[in-house]
Amino acid sequence: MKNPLDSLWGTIISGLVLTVILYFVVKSILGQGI
Amino acid sequence: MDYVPALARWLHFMAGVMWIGLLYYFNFVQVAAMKAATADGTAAGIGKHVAPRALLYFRWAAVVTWLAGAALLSDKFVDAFTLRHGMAGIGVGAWLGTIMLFNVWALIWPNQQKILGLKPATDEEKNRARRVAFLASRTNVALSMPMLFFMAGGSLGSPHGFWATAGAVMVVVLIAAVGFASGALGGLFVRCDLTLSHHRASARARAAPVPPAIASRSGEPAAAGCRSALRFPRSSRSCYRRSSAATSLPS
Repeated sequence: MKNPLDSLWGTIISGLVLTVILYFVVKSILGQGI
Repeated sequence: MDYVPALARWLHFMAGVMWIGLLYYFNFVQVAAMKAATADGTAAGIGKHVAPRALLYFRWAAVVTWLAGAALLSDKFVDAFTLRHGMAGIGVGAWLGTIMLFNVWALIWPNQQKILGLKPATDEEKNRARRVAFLASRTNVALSMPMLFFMAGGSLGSPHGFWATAGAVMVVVLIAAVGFASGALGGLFVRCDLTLSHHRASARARAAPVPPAIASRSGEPAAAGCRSALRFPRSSRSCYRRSSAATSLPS
């Protein structure tokens, strides 16, 4: 499988996915609003 | 107004813009430019004059951003890094920024020193350094997105923080999209304009008589395409190489 960081779009999509995951981690697991 | 937090916030924003701006420059502009420049043999200029200067401001802006951010957090520094007392949002942003700072000083800069020849390295070490620095830089681009989201959202501190942040992010994305689109169109226009100017100049040069200097050096008329070379010194070299007079002319 190709490393997503090799392409700019792969990097941007990775960043967006990470943002969504971290948002729900902070909101749900830690129970704190952003 | 408390002067220390105000100054720290101002410095944090300015240094942050420089740091992340240069990070995006490296990833969105220089990587592609280096590839194209290597293909036509002009990469040395970027490697010698542009990259070291950009890296200087890049790595020190990262330090200033982190220190100003720490000063801004002040007595909430520990709460932020331990994600407690309502500081989880800004804390996640602070952690991401810290990981990015580590990437800059522990991975990108030491490997860039090898790539740019500031530190001795074999070809094999340089190839490995290129890959490590590239991936660390791309990782920072990916991390910068949630980092900015949490930094912006964390500072709002209201129940509507998420939607305010989402709205702000959408506005920024829209501005960036318009910027990219206008930049791309602008680039296209400039390119078309240069091409047209070149064609017009070539046509004018073809219509003009051959300068005696070129004809007399070789003892024979210069190749037709070389007439435009007087206006475009870069293409003149290839023109001279194509003509039979090439060997007798200075490069």
